[in-house]
Order: sequence, then C-alpha cells, then structure tokens
Amino acid sequence: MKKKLLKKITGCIVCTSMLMGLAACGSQPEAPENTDNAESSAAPETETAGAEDTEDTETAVVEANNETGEGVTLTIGVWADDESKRLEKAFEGVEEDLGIHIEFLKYPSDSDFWDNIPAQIAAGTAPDIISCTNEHYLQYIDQGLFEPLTDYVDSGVINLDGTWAKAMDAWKIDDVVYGIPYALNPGVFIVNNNMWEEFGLGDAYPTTWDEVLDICKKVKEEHDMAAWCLNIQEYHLTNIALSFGGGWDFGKNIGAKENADAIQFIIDAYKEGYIVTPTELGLGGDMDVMIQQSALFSTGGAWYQGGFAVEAPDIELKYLPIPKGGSGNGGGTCHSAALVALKNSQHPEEVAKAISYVAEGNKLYEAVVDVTEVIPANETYFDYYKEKVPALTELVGYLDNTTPFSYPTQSKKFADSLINMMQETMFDEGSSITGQDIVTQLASEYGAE
Amino acid sequence: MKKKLLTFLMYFTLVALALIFLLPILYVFYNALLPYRYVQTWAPISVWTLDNFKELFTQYPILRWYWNTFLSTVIVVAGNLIFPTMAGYALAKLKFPGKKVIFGCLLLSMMVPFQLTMIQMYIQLAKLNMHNTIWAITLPFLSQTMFLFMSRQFFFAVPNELLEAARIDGLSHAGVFFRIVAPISKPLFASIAILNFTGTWNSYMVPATFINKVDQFTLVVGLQTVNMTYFKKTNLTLAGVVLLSFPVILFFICTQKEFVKGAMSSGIKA
Amino acid sequence: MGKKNKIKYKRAEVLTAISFLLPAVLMWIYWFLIPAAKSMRLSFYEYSFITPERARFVGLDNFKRLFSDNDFLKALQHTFLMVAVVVALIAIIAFLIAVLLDGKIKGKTFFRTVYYMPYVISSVAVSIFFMYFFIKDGIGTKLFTLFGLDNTTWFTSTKYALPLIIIIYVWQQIGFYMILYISGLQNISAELYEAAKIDGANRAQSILHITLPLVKPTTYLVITLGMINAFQIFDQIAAISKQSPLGSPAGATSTVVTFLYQQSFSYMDMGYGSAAAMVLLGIIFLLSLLRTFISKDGE
Repeated sequence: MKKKLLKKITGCIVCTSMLMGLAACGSQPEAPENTDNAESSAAPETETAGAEDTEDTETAVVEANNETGEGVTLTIGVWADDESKRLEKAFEGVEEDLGIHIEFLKYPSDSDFWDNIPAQIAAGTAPDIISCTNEHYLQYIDQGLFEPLTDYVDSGVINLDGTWAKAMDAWKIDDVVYGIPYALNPGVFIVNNNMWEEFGLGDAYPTTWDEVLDICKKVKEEHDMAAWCLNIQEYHLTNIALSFGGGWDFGKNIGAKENADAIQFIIDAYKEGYIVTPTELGLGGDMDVMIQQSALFSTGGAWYQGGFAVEAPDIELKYLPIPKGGSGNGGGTCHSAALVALKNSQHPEEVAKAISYVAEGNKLYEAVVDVTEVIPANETYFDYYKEKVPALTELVGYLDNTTPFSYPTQSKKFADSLINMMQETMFDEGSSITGQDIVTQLASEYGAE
Repeated sequence: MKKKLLTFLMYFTLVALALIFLLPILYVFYNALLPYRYVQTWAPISVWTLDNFKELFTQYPILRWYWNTFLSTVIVVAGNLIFPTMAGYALAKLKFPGKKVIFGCLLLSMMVPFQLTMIQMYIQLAKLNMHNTIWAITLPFLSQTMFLFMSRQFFFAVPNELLEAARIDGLSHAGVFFRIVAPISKPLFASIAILNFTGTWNSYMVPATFINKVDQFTLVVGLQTVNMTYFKKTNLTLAGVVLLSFPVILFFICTQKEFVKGAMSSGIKA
Repeated sequence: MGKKNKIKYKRAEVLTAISFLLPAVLMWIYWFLIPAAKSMRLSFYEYSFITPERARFVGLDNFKRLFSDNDFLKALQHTFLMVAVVVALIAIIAFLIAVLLDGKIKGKTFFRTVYYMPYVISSVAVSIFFMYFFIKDGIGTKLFTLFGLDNTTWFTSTKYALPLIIIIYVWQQIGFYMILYISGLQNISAELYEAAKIDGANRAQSILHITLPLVKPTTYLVITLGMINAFQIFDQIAAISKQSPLGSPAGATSTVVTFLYQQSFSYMDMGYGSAAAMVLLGIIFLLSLLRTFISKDGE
C-alpha cells in the first residue's frame, strides 16, 4: 500500500519536474534583459501552483490586471516596524478615495531591503513606492533606480508647497526631483540628564567639543567610566565632521583639514579612554548603550525619544545641538526621509497620484508626528509637531544649522572604508594612523571634482 | 578499578562537553527573560519577565509564521527523503555510464556559494509567479545535493551480497531499493530528516529574499521584523529564538531514536 | 582513461539508475545549473541588475582587478586559513564525540540532544553570548589569558576576531557532523568489537583498527562537506559584524563569501562579485583535482 502511494507520488513529481525542466530549456537562458515581461509568462504557474490557496491566485489576478485606473494595486516597500506603521497610517485613505489598492511588502531589515532591490527590479517584482533617506540615496540615483518625479511636480500633480527648503534641495539633484521629503531628523547630541545630575556636572551643558572633553575627563577621573558613546558608523562620524566645519560635499570636500581634525579628535579621545563603542560592550547600537546607562552622552536623533519612552521611561534625556568643534560653527546632519518612486513600475501615473494624495492631505505629516514623533518635512506642520511632541520642540530650531549627508556617489563603499579605517586606528593599539591619513586616503579613492 | 576510572573519565568528559554546549544556550534563554535595558547584564531575578513572549504573541502573527515554517519544512524534508536518497543509491550501487562525471558535477556544484545563484533563482521564481508564496521556499530545495552525497556515502556500506541475494529472489533493481535497502537505512533517513529539518526551519536568507508578504513569512524572518529602524530589540529577538528552537529540539529528540545499532547487519541475516 | 572500459552495463540496471537520478538531476539543472551559469556569465561583465541596459562586456578585467585588490587577497587568505583549521577541528571533535556516545552510556538521548543544540540555535543569538563572553575582562577572555593571550575584546581586535569566528563556528557546527558520524557508526556491528575484545584489543586499539577504517566513507563525507561548508562561512561573520560592515573589525574577518556579498549586493557590482566566486571555485576545483590525483578513493 504505502509503496504504491510512494510510487505514485514519485511519478507525479517526476512528471512535474520534467515539465519544469522543459520550461527551463524553452525560455531563453539570457539573463541581462529588462524583465518587464515577468507578468506575461504566468502560464506555467497554473500547473505547478494549481492547488494553492485562493489568496495567492487572487493577488496574481489583480496584479495581472494591467488596465489603468480602477483596480490597480500599488506596492510599498517597508522594513522596520515604526516606519511601516506610519506609512500604513499615511496611505489609509488611498483605496477609498482613489480606488488604488495599497499593498505593503515587508523586508526584515534595511540591509535586506537594499540587498534585494536589484534582484526585484530585474525580476519585475520590486515595490512601486519606497521610503528612503538622503544618506545612501546617491548611489541608487546614479544607478537609475529612482523614477524622476520632476514632471509631476512641474505639472502640479504633486504639490510641494510648504516643503522645508533644505530637504527639498537634498532631494533635487541637478534639478531633477527624486523624492518627496516627508520627515526630518536633525543630528543631535543626547545627554542622559539623570546621570548628568547624579554626577553633579553643573547647569551649563557643553556647546563645544572641548567642553565635552573636559566633562569626559572629569567623569573618567571620578567615576572611572567612558562618558561618550560613539557608534563607529557613518552617521555619527559625519555629524562630528560637520560640527568641525567639514563634511563630504558629494566627494568634493573629503580631504578637507576640518575632516582630518574631527577624526583626529575622535582618535585622541578614544585613546584617552573617553569613548566607549557599543561593540566593545557586546551591544548592537548606541541607543542600547544609552538605555543601559553605560555612557553619559551620544550623538543621535529624535528616534531616541520613542525607544526610551518604551524601554526606559524613567531616564530623562536632553537633546542638545551637536557641539562646535575647531573653527566650525556646529550643526549636524540633516536626515530626511522621502517617498520615492522606483523605476519599472507598471503604474507610474497611479504612483504619482498616490504620492500627491498623501503629501497634500494632512495624513502623511500627521502620521510622521503621531506614530514616530519625528519632525514632518512640511513647514506648515512644524507647529503641530511642537504641540504634539513638547519634549523635542528645540529640535525644530536646530534644523537651520544642519547639512545633508552628501556622501560621494559610491556611498556604501565609502562608508565601509571610513568605518574600517576608524576601527583599524582605534582598536589596534599599535596603530599610528592619523586623521589626516584617513581623509587623504578616502579622498584619493572617492574624491570628486 | 581501572575500568571504573575509565567510566568516570568518560562521564566527566561527557558532562564537561555538555556544559560547554549548554551554557551559551542557557545564556540566550536567560536574556530572553529580561527587559530590554537589562540585556547583556546580570540582572536580579525580580526583573525577570515573560513580557517578551507576551509581546511577540500579541503584537505579531506568530502562529501564522509558525504554520508557514512548519508547512515549508515538512514539504522540503519530504522531498529530501525521496529524491536525493534515490539518486544517491543509483550513484553508489547501480552500474551505468557517466556515473563519475555526474557525481563530479554534483560535488563541484556544492562549492558554489548560494549567494551567487540566489538572485537568478529569484528571477526564475518570479517568472513562474511563485515569489511571495510557499513554493518559492520549497520547490527549489526539494532535492539538495548535500543529502545526495550523504546517501551515496551511506549506501556504500550496504553489503553487495545482500543486494545480489535480493536480486536472485526475483526483485527488480527498484524493488531492491524500496523493499530491502530503504527499510534498513533508518539511520540515514533519520540524519537527513534531522539535518534538513533544522536547516530549513532556521533558514534565513532564502525566505528573507524570496518572500516579502507578512502573512507568508516564516518564523525566522518574521522575528527579524520586530525591530525598530534605529534600534534592535535584542530581548525580543532572543525570546523569538527560544520559540524558534523548541520544535527543532523536540523533533531531534523524537527522530534520534532511529539511530539503531546494527540495523544493517540485521538486514543481512534476514 | 587509457584503459578500455570493460564493464558491461545491463539495460534494466541502467534504466533504473536513470529513473532514480532523473528527478534529482532535473531539479539540479533547473534550480542550480541555470541560475549558476547565468550568474557566472556576469563575471565577464560590468553589470548591475538595476540597469541591465548599461551592461558592458569587459572580458577578464574583473579578474585582473581582483588580483590587485588587497581586500580580496586578504579575504582569500582568511578563507583558506579558516577552512584548514575548522575542518581539522570539526572532524576530530565530532568523531570523538560520536565514539563516546556510541558506547553503552546512560542518558544517551540527553547528551546527543545537548550536543546537537548549538546547531539549532541561530547564529545571531549565539553571537550575543560569545560577544559577551569574549569582552575585555569577560569570562572567556580571562580563561584564555591563562594560555598567554591578551585581555582584550576579541571581536574588536583585528588579531582575535578571526579566532573568535572559528570558535563560534566549530562550536555551532559540531552537532551537524556528529550526526553524520553517529549515523555512520550504526553500520559497524557490535560483534566486530566483541571479537576484537576476545583478541585482547583495548578500547583505543579497537577504535584505531576497527572504527576508523570502517567509517572511512563517513570521514570522507565529513571532510568534504566540512570543507564545502567552511568555504561558505557567512552567518557567524554577519552576526559578529552587526551593524558594521561585513568582515569587521577592519576587514579582519572577511572571507570570499562576505566579499562576494558586499560587492554584489551592497556595492551592486554584480560582475565583480561573480568573478570573486569564480576564482574561489577555480581554486577549489584545482585542489580537488590534486586530491583525486594523490588518493584515488572516495568510496
């Protein structure tokens, strides 16, 4: 009995696998082609996936329905929980009002997202809309991943009135609009005020890095701990470089003396024992260190507020501007998330409509404030933010001093090189590499005219 | 006296090894019981809590993810108990032309990193419209070369006399495999089942790449999505690991009974 | 090769063999060979999946670039070092554990389960323990200072990060190879040991003269699989690197696979990443040719 069944099953599977083999031989094995036709070759699907649950077949049908207008499904790619919640809220009314069905594709993490996107573009399964920050966007823009939105902006389909100018500039490259900014996050210097008071460090918070260093010294002497948590990541390093008056300026300014000074400052402070890195504690990020009170301050952003509210509500945080360094006038990064349309969308018109719908109504900006307590990128909502998130009101004032990240085009490679060199210099006790060495080498590899 | 000392030494080694293997795991379980701010520190028992588990079950479709993981694992394991073992038997015990070439190709193919072929595999799946479905994480993995290789090595140990005797009794070649060899190869099937179950249950890169719909996620992938943009909830992740590991350990305990001593030699006598 | 092939194939046997192999081979062709061939083709191109229309045939340029790329050479070196150490450790430890568990002992199920457990737990979770254990002044670090090693945080040290990866990997994978050995050991009949005992052999002798020769197919399997898997170490490195670049600190734990991943995915230089994989494959192929040349068994 059993064996007969086994044979039957085997027989069936042999047949299907042969069929599949044939299908493989039939389709041309040439990969490098634009695979927009992914939908059209849906035929073999019916035989192999025949008895699948109806849910899947339904979505397949909807997706295959290429008519414009009614019944269109747009996909939005998201990863972290907080972000997906705010976008879900922002896009709530689209289905009712525009008849466009929104479906969320979720990725486990940002790196999974960015690593998978090229494959999905090639396979024709990438989301239509994503949310992207102005950190590593240049390398994707350079590759042509983002659909220019200039036409829709010029023709008034997408209305950008009120969008904060600096964020808009960051998303307009060579006069082409690549994204509709909706959230802002100035880089800030975060102090654990409970510890600050416990250590009796006075009323004046540091405004320059030299003052920070004095505090570090004091804390080191009196409490034998490193006061400054520095996560060796491009975000934090860029904030410090900018506060020294440096910055990368899309590769044009990497070798600047200000950058060298900033990096040298970090190296020296680390060698003095004033800095603790999250990895040394076996922790994932700077926020973990701060929540466990293993350091007094760190660079960061408004996202600290949400994390602390849930995990450590008893700790009071002070959000200060990034201290001034050298001849710089302070000011950190301008971090701006934007809605971006990906290339090869089946429904570019609907994408523009959906984006303009959320950007013009109050839904998007209110969701940004209500769900994530982050500053909306539209000036008319600044007051709404101040009213809803009183703890972070000062952050709006810090915006004017901020600068976009402006990494060179090969941004990830640049960031990895920067981090690797920093790790080598800091963690290898015998290292004699200086800040100048690091920026010089980076400039030679990633510098631009 | 000497024998007693030897036994003592043996148990001593076993227990010492067990500690080395167990301690890190206990540490993981311990951290799964902590609120976020105590992770990686020695926290008093008073702060231990089951909240992490509660949060996972109330905030996320854990049961749905469990089901997806279970279903895909069962399909893959079933496939790997059939196809690679048959092929492995042919490569070990049947005579046919091109045997060495086929085996050589298969062996070499195992050395190709999966990361290299993954994207093309995804494109192929998308053409069949199978991405975001359970087929994407099962169909391509029904016959894994590693188990084919394992089967081949295992079947070498089956005595040829046994096969010849069965042939003389009038069984076909296929009959010999299904009626004589398969029943006495329990240790092989058990080890394939165990290893493949573990591998599929825990696999991350495949489902993370091939599936982007929350209700189709497997547990491993789903548990990775519980993080916020700028901080990872390590304690939730670890609680998830505990939930993730229990079924596999149970499966192992049940299946390892099939490692029966001398199955092969009893087969010869029969 | 020169010899005349004198084996006569029987039709029924060949047909059975074909039908047994067909499903596995067809699936292999469709799900492995075709995707792999397509990917490998890209090693001769400058290629990104986002803009296939910009693909450019560059011949062997990617390969030339590889051999002057210090990061790649470093990764290659790490890979081979790791494979050598890991395979030796795994084969020996797994064999000894399997033999220990093969005797008549109490709590066999318990020990088997415990030794298998690390293989079940995800690398991310495991890394959390090891990172804590090998921190400066941590328990593990202190333990190893007894052997003259430095008291430093292992995973931020360019010197100790790679050994840490090896420790985690071996610890985690032992269970897998133990299973292979346990299942292989089941084929050895207890009578053989009895006979040896009567002949006056002690335990060590019977392991050496009975067990080892008889588990040779399994040892071949363990070493080959061990190598194949060790060449592809990825999870543990990714777990240790956390939010830093793969292969942190400062590329001290980079391998060919992390290099391939970074180039192909993070930097979207698909052709270059594929070329790296091709080089690795070429080297393994040559090595295995050499191996077959030296010893002609495999059975």
